[in-house]
Amino acid sequence: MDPKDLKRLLDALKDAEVKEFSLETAEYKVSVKRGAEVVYAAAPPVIVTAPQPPQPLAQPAAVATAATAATAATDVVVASSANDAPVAPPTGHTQKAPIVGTFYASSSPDAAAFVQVGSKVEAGKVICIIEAMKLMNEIEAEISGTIKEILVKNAQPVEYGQPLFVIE
Amino acid sequence: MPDLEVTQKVMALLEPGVWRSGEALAAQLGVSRVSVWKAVQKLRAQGYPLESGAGGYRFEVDAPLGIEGVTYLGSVGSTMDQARNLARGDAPEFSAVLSERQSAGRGRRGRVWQSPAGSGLYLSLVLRPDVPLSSLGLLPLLVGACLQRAIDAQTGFAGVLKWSNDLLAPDGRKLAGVLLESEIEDGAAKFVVLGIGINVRVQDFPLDLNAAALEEFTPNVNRKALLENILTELRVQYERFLESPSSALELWRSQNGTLGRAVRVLLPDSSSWDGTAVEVASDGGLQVQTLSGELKTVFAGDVSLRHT
Repeated sequence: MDPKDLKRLLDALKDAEVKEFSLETAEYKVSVKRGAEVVYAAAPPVIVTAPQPPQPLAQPAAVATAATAATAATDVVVASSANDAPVAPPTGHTQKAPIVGTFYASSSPDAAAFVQVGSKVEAGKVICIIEAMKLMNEIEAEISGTIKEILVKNAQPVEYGQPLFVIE
Repeated sequence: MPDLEVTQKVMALLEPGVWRSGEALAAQLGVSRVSVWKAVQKLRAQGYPLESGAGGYRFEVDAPLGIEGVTYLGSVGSTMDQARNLARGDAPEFSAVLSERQSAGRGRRGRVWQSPAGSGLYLSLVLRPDVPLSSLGLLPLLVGACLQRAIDAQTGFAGVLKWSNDLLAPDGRKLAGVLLESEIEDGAAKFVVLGIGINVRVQDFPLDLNAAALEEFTPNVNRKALLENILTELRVQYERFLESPSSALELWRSQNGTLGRAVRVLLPDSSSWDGTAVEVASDGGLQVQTLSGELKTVFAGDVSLRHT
């Protein structure tokens, strides 16, 4: 299933006002909850983006094992099984966490996110905050470009070196 | 002379605890007594703690006026924003902005820090710590320990130092809080803005703030002397921290009232669980043993002390 098919599926479900839907085949498993979360996990799940760093024992919360996008229905991280056609290697610059802490997509809970997928950024623009011990570290974009992927959910813990964004 | 200029000159002539008569001020500035009176009203409206009496006018005896490196404002949105502007320029370390009142004082994640005029010490300082980012998380612990040392040295009342840097009353209400903001570029902090809020005078706190004031526990706190103690303590401990960041850990451990305590952890994703605070990690995270025996490290969120 390619992203276009997925988009068609989502549109069809939207038109029919279906709230929940799941489909499992040998190649993939799709489950959709409209209005909230979209999960598209392949079997076995392989995340297309850079590998996660090793997780220490004390990691406060598990990193998602399936590619997950929780924002909008069109905002889907595609995962692929080994049987699919070879996936193009990730392009663009993967920006990693420079410090351990908690990832925030916005300056405060009521504020709009600094960036979204598709946002154009200049190098030096603040794209997220990582909090450690009440120190709010404003993280600036390392390169200019377009935000291709956001790999961490708001208010989740991140490890040093964990990929946060793909900027292209 | 324009009103604004009169106001600035009157401010420059007034001192904490020393009466200056309206006549003398008027004569010195070459303006009318009414102009002096208007200037005093204006300064008071801005938030400055000015007293008037038979002797004339003066700043309250403990007004934090005339401290080197500290810009003293009557009111401001947030001292954090002011200090950040200084940091983006070439302000030296420990340049500070203090305001008697903040209309938009803030804490973690958009929370309000209530800052009415004359009630506390609300200030932000510029720091440029040249330490690895992996050590930067120890700076907040250091600040909490310094606040406690300075308050204890002046009043003999120490409060409880909670991870990471809150100072609590014995009943758990918050006396002082710290917020830090940094801009990270290419793996290094361009600067850190350190915000400190201390509730000194008794005030009507909304219940949900769970706040307390120092003077509920120790009377007649001199705010200016307290601020000078804090700045001295910070300078000494910050120098040690730059030489050896782990010194902050030792200091915090020696003073904290968190380790060994039963705690409730409320994480930024709204999940919550109970455990026992067992240790502070080398990067400043709090290691908590959950009720099921698992060891978790907390880097952000609310840790409250439970009474068991």
